Amino acid sequence: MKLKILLFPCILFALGCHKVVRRDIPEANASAVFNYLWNEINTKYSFIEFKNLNWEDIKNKYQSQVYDGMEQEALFRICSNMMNELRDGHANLIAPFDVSYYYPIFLNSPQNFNSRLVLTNYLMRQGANMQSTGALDNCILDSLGIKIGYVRYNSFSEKLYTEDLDYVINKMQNCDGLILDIRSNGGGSAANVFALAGRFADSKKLAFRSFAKNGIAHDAFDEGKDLYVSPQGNKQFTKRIAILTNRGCYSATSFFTLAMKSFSYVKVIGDTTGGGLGVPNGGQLPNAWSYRFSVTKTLTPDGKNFENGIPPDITVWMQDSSVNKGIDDIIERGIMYIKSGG
Amino acid sequence: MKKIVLLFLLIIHFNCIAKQNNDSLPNIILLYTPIKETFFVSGINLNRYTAIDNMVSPLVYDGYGLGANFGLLRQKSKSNTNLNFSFCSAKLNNELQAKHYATELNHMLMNCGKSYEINNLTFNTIVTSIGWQFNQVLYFKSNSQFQNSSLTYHISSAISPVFRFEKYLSIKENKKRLAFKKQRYMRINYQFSIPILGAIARPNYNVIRKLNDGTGSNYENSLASEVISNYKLYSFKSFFAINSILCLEYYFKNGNRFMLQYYFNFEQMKKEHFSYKVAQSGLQFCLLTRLNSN
Repeated sequence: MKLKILLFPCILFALGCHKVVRRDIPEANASAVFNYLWNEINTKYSFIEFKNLNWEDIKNKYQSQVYDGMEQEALFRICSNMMNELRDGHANLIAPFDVSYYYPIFLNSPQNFNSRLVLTNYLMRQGANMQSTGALDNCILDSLGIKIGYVRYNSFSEKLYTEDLDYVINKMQNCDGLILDIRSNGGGSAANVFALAGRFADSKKLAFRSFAKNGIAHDAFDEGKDLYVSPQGNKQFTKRIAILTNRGCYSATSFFTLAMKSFSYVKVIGDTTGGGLGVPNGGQLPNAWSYRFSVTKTLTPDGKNFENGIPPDITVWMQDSSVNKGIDDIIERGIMYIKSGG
Repeated sequence: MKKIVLLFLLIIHFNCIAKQNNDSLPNIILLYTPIKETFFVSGINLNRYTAIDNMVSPLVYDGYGLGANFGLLRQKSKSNTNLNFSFCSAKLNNELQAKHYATELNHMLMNCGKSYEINNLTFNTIVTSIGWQFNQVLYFKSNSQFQNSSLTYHISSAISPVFRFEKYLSIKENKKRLAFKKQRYMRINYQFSIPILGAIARPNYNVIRKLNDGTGSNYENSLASEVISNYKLYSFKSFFAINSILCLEYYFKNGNRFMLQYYFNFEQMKKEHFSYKVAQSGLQFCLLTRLNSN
């Protein structure tokens, strides 16, 4: 009798009543996957209205190519082509065999950055005293007696430690100005945006406003949130600062650029950034592929939407003739700004 | 921190056992005895979860986890009062992906309730009780493949009526209020509750944490403030849950008890873009250490 009593809960545990959840497993055929993805974007993507997309037309364009039983690779191509209609570097489809990207943002633009040239002719210039302090490559350039700090940050995915920032900011204190080179920095963590921007802030400034999608309608956003940049660390660098950008500056790098534009002593020099000012979400399709796309929008304090890129204060493109001579036109323009203020 | 809590529990446990061993209790177990008894409950549990969270995935995730629980149980001749905390950590997988895409689930439960006997007939019959219960359930799920939407949660606070049925085993007819020598005493009971009103917190519409204002060290809003701001009341229409426990108690000579529980809990929220379902079943092995009786 006792054995039976003990066995009873064990049997119940093994069987459970979990079928009540399992009965909701969705179909994972090609049409279901396509429709699920289309609907997720339709109800959650934050720039359908801003980019003037007719999402119904896009559905009709691609849905006719989808049929049940088609190969996974073919379905992936159709779904990723549909996502690329968003013209958004934050829109990706991830399958076990492939990941989709939207490349034209920077592939259709001049590169405006040559890492070898920067390394050999600026960072490793004689007397520049190049150091790699954590994620920050840095040196001090001497231009006719004027000392200019140069800091290169490759990726906002690389963590910025307080000690490293302290060291670099201390090292630059005797400089007359600073060039912060974030060209081809594809973004990363928003935590690094505020950690770095705070080192160049002389006071608390409104950087931008962030609005999250909160409903099905294409224009349904929440009340928004003001985001500030305020001084961080023991010392800050608040002399002239040139931020160097190109179309490879994306996501967190664009956030940083936008935040820095609120300070009068900062000039953005180079090319328009790649944009990407929407925070991407993440989710899964019925066939277990995953996706992400932007679900917030960011506006400047005066209400402008720079999702497609933040224009520089001073536009400069690198010329082949200069590159051949070992000159980076954008860095040189940054040096000129620090020396002259214009 | 975990070690301190465990140590604390062990000290209480051993203190109680040591104290009771000194009480020269006769080899007697009384039926319907003490008018009032209080127990410290501690144990471990093995759980199975099946969950679907439509905010990030239409797929069903299933898996097992281990946990622990502790609490207090106060039994009077005509009523039961309980306060229980349990925690379980589990890894859930779906059928279509490799194991390393697992969702980590942390489940916390706090419940307190009281039930009153409404029908007490003779032995070998079922004693029926009715009462109320307050449940605070926290499910935190984390899956890194969802990037900025990796953390989802559903936190529910619900009040429900409780129905409880008890049956005494190993008791012979017409032995009411007599002592049984050398005979162990067992009790089986079944309890279920269905919440009538729930307050639930779910993530934001897009399952992303809102950015903080940029001035502090955290760039994201704190989880606690998001949870509090996302709490909403839901009626029976959009929130359904059931909590059921089948329990077997085995009485030791010294007044302590061993308890084996099988429970099945189910929660469902029906609201477009926020819906979820989760079923939990588990076995719980508990020791009830008697703190006092009179």
